[in-house]
Amino acid sequence: MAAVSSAASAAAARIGAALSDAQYFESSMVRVEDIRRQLDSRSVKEKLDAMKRVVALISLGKDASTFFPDVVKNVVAPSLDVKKLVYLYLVHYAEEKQDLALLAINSFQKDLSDHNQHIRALSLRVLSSIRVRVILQVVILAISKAAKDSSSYVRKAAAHAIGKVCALDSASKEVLLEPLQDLISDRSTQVMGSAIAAFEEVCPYNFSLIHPHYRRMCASLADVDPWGQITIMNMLLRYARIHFADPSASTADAQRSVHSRNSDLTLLLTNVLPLFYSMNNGVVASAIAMFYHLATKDEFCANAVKPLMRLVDIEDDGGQAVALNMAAAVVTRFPPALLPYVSELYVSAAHSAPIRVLRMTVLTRICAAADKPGGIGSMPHARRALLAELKEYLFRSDKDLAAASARAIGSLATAHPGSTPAIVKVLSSIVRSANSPAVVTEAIGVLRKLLQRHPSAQARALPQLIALLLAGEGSDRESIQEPAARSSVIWLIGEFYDKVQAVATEALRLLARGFVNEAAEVKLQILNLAAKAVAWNESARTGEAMSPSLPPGVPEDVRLRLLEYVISCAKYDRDYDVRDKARMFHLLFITQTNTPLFGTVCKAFCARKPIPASDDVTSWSMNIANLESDVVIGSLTQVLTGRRLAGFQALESWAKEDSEAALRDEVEGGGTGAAHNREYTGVSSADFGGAGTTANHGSTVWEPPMGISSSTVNLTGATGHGYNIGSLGVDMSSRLAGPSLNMKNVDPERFYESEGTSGSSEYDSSSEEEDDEGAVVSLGAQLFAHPNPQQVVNDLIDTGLAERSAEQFAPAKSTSEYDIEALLGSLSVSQEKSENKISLPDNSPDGQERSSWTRLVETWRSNGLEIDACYIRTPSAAGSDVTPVVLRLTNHGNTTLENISFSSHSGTYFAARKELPSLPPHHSDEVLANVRFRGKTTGVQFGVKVDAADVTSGELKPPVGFVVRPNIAITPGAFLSTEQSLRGMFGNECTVRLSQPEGSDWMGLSNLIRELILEKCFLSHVKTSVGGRSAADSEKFSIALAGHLPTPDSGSQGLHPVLVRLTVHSAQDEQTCKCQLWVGCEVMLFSATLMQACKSALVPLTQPS
Amino acid sequence: MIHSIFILNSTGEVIIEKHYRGNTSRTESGAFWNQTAKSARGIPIDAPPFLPTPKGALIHLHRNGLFFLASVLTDTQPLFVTQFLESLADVFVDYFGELNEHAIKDNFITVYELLEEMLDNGFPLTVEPNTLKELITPPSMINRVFESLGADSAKTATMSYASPRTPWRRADVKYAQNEIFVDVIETIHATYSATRRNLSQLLIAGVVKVNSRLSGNPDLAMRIRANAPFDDVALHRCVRLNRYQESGQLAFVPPDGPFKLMTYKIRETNSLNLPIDVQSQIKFDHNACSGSVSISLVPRFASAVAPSLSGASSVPSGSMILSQVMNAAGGKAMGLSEPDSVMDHVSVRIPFGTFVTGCSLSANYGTVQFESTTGTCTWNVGAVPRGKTPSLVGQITLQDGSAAVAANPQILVSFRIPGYSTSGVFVESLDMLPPERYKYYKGLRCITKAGLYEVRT
Repeated sequence: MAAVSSAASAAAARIGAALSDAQYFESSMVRVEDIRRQLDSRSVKEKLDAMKRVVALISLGKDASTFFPDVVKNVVAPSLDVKKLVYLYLVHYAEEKQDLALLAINSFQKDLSDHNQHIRALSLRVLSSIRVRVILQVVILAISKAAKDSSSYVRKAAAHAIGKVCALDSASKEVLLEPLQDLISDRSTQVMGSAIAAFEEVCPYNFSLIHPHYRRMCASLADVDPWGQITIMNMLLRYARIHFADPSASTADAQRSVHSRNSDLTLLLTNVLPLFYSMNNGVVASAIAMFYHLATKDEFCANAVKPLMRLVDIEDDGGQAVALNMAAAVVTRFPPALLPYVSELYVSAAHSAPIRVLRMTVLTRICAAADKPGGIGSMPHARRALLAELKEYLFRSDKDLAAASARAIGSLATAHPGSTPAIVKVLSSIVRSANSPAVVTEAIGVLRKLLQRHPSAQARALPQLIALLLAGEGSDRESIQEPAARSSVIWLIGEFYDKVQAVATEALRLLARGFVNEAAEVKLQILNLAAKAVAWNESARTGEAMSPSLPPGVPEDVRLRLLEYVISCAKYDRDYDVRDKARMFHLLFITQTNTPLFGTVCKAFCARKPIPASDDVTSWSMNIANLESDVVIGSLTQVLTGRRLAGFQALESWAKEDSEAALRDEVEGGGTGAAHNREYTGVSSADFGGAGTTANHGSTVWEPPMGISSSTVNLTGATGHGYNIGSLGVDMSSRLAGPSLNMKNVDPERFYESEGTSGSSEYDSSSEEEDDEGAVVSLGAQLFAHPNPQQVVNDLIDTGLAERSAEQFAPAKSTSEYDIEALLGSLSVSQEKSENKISLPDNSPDGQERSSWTRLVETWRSNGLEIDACYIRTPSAAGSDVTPVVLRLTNHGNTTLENISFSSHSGTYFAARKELPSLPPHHSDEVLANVRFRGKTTGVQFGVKVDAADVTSGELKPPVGFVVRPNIAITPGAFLSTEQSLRGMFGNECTVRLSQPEGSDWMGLSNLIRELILEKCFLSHVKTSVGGRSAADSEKFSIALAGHLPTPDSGSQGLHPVLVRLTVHSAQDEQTCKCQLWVGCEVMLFSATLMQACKSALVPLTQPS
Repeated sequence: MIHSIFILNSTGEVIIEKHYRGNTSRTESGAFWNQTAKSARGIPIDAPPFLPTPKGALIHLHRNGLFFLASVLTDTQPLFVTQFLESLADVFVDYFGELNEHAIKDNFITVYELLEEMLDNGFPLTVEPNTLKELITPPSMINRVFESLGADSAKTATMSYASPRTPWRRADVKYAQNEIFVDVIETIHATYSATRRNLSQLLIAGVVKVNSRLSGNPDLAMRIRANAPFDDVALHRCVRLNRYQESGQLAFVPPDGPFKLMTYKIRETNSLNLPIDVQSQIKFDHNACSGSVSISLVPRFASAVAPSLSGASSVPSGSMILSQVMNAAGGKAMGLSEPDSVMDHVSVRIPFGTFVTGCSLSANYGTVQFESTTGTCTWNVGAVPRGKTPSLVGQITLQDGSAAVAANPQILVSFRIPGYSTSGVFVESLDMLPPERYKYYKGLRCITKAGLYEVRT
């Protein structure tokens, strides 16, 4: 029966082993082909098995990246189990295999709109974790969408994704501020922690995002999850230091300072109080740090000390080490705080070595702070208990502990002279027991310092020591045995001979008697002592002694005879050091007594030795204290004793005065434009501080520059634009060297971009002159070119007339003809002129555009040759997939550059239309080049040759709007049918909130929008349909834009249609309107990127929310 | 922000690695291991808790022979990290029933899934065990069989985040038999001198662990008291804090399953007695290079005093089981070797130091081991029957020339006394508030353990 059952259990165990996942670790002999086959299999079980094998390989530290193509295919697997493992694998290897990782993007995008919140969050999490730069735009898009998700779980994931994107590409910070702001305003307490974590990572000093939510954050702190609490407290600590003045600075009286404290700071501290009850040690540590850095001493002692002692009780070394570090800081700042709990800081044999060191540090600091008000010096009972405990350690077999204890005792004596006698007793006892030379040395060192500092102790301590030294001579007390200890004590006696002359002489006599039996090092010291006795005598006689009060009593010749006796003993010693010294002393003190040398020698012997300068205990703790002044207690920086990791945020010193309370008033529903504007300008200086490395800026920079904000409002006028300038300030702040937002410092290019509509007036005036002529020419050109002239005319009427009317309706606004002029005008020019001679007149419609040059080659790289590039709005004759670029070459050198030519790198197409025969110094010339970007924004390289020699190379990186080519041939009907086919899978959609136009000038708004988009993106305008289909419909107008995307594919000549549609709806609130932006392209990656570009083009019109 | 997590076995081999913000090389964990091996006493526990690396720092947690190693590259609150590692270890115990190398390897897929779900971008995402279990099903034989048969296991990642008011509790909990168990575990930290008989430290740290298996959304009210006042209390986030501050009552909607309800400390120890007295005599004879050791452990507690759930009248519903019964049952469940023993897991450690080279010690209970590299003597007593006094006597040999070394060794004692509470802690009442109305079983158990129990000679 038993056999049967055991067999059964063995069988069960076998089955268990077969089912257990541990097998994947053992079977190291997996064949690559097998795994590949399994991954290709249709069976979910096989796939899962293969994935487990692959993951096990990763776990074993083997390179499993060879399976990447096979694994990626399974991303569409219906099984969630397989999918999760595929995701795991992708995250691990995607950075290495960027191109292949792109294959999985479609699947992610599908999952991003899954109905299951978990799937949505998972795909966002993985998508943002795979660290492939190319898809950043897609990720950013997904984040913006997820930030508004209905599920708090997905919103949390969105917050985390923001941090990931910024870590990969810090340039995208700007775009992410908007979703971040949404998340910070999120009402769910589950999201708050993650949102603040993202804030800390992206823009830790952009407190304008925090102001309106400060009070809400304080109030709901207790409801947030523990990890969020830690993060939020960490941020609020910095916030409070920057925005509130030190409450204890204004009034000395603690009670009054609490009352005069800013109510917002009090609110914060009140809401931190409940967190001391948290089970999460991290939360407790953060709460303690809050009170340490923000509250008064009384508040700290009343609330934070017991929780701190709870942390000291943590079993795990790491946790306890942090707590002890905090305790060390607390003791230095509030000496009485930990005194009731000193016994809990004692060192036990069960503690590990690092913990013992830290505990001794805290105890030493308690000793060193004994003289502070409320320190242990004023509590005799506690002091005695501590001293007894420290004495205990002196006798431990752990030498480091014993030595540290001796030092601690020394610092207690230094800080509290009253306890010196007791301490001398303790130290003498350790000298007696001579635990180990190291400890004895330490004790003697401490004793020596004590005696040198406190002459009053000498008279009492030295006889004690002498008694210990000579015990055994007739008494039953244990004497000092260890030679090292004996010699040290003898040295001490000699050092303070003048203070205890009679006893010391008697000691010398006894020592001389036992001279023969002493160890060599003791003999040397006895010789010294004997010599010093004579020297002191001599100094006293000649009146040169430092201490004139040498009492008589011991006859002079006694000393001399003692010396003679000792010398004669030593002369025949076995140790040659002793013999040498004896002979030297014989010469100095006995035969040469009448020479001036004798006096000098005596003086040298009696000179007071300087007190050792490195009073290591106290100076060391002083160093730590200084170091900690800008370090938050309990932070990793403190624990690593000052090593600052990346992302270290120095603790600011208190602000000079409280910031305005109104700043923290909650803004209702987006608030007024002006309010926002102020917020954002405030940001600019604050964020600058974040970018800078020194913390000292803090107090001066943080004050919100109110004056500047108002000037910004004046500058831009309309509310919506004011907001925009504000956001400009945000990104500029990292570049500006000055703290204030000064318009002179604004980068002209950026300023231009942001000013958008109003700034383009310059261009308008120049273009209007050519208006009619250009329009006619272009119309003609298009009529000839197009196979269906009637259609073109219709289109033109459709678009052009609408715009004309719009212009009439809105005379104040700038011209709306921009797109069609730019497009058709330049078209006509390019067709009229021969290719090689192309030289675009400055007043041509694209002249404005050519102000946005990008520098390709810097002077210093290429003998003074500087190359700038400008993308022009000209369809190229070389083909519809070619982008023409004007290159401006400027010679900053001193010599004429001859025969400048260009070359393209393999695999790319870059063709300059002409060569420059010569370029004299300080001249510039322009060259038109044709480039095939093939639908990518990654850039095309080209080489530059001067006189057939390679000089330099440049790289053209087009903005996304210039990769796409306009599709002037498309009809509104064709647009609609293409739109139908692209809707759904290939489309990308988003909604932007715009400010409603003043006086419901929808026509003006439509022109404005089109203009802004076309300026950024080289598309052609197809149609603007005005008004909704029904009166009740909120749709105001819809703009259709079209273009081509040239790609390397052969299908349909490698041109993918790109469609953009903007539909504007009016909203209920009369303040805003909703602009739906849809971008469709078969190349999904591109459509996402283009949508982002369009969206950013609309920024000047967006309504702050 | 936690950049990477490694799990190392007791020989320093990486079993699991997971990266959250770009991959960290395994060489870092190697660096950690080298440092650990170099540490002073050659004991991994002596490794510095925070190890700086060229770019950041390594923070570790040592549990059951496993090292949980977190690589941190940016400035982070260290307790945030250690606390997370602890939560991680707790979740593993919760999922796999045990925590060791085998359990991790056996469930490595689940481990990876958990790591994926618990951290995102180095920031904790879902750590609450109740929520986690809805996302990742704990491994069970049934699931494995399903999997081996090729069926997609019954995992449905539908998340019904409970009510936002109680994010720690799973929604729709149903049990056929409703029960709640309360364990009070008290740890005594004591340091006293055996010869001078003076106590330099006595502190009791208690933790109240609850295992709730109650249906629906039960709202509980509990009163717990001890002979001395609770000094420093920490509460699970489910406890309504203001109610506790006002009336000392613990009112809470518990998470489902086991959790720590409360921790407390008792510092006012005048009325308390040490449960075990250690009588010892260690003398060194330096001339003969030897020493004599004599240690005996004397139980000072009367008997297993049962903490009681008092006031049956105040409990309107639910069956009341007296804790006396529970003690016996619970004792068995904890795997006591002898049913009538009063204390178990007893062991005594004497770290003499390296100057002791050998020993010949004999004990009436348990076994004695001597480790010569550290000069530590360990006496594993095990379970001690009622009314017996374990003792250890014998000689030790000292190193030559260590005559002057007169270090006083300390004796570290560890023990466990089931069914006994030093502070006399007891649960006064445990009620369920409306609207839930059903009968449920309540169980209470008490254990006293030694924490830092150091006796100086």
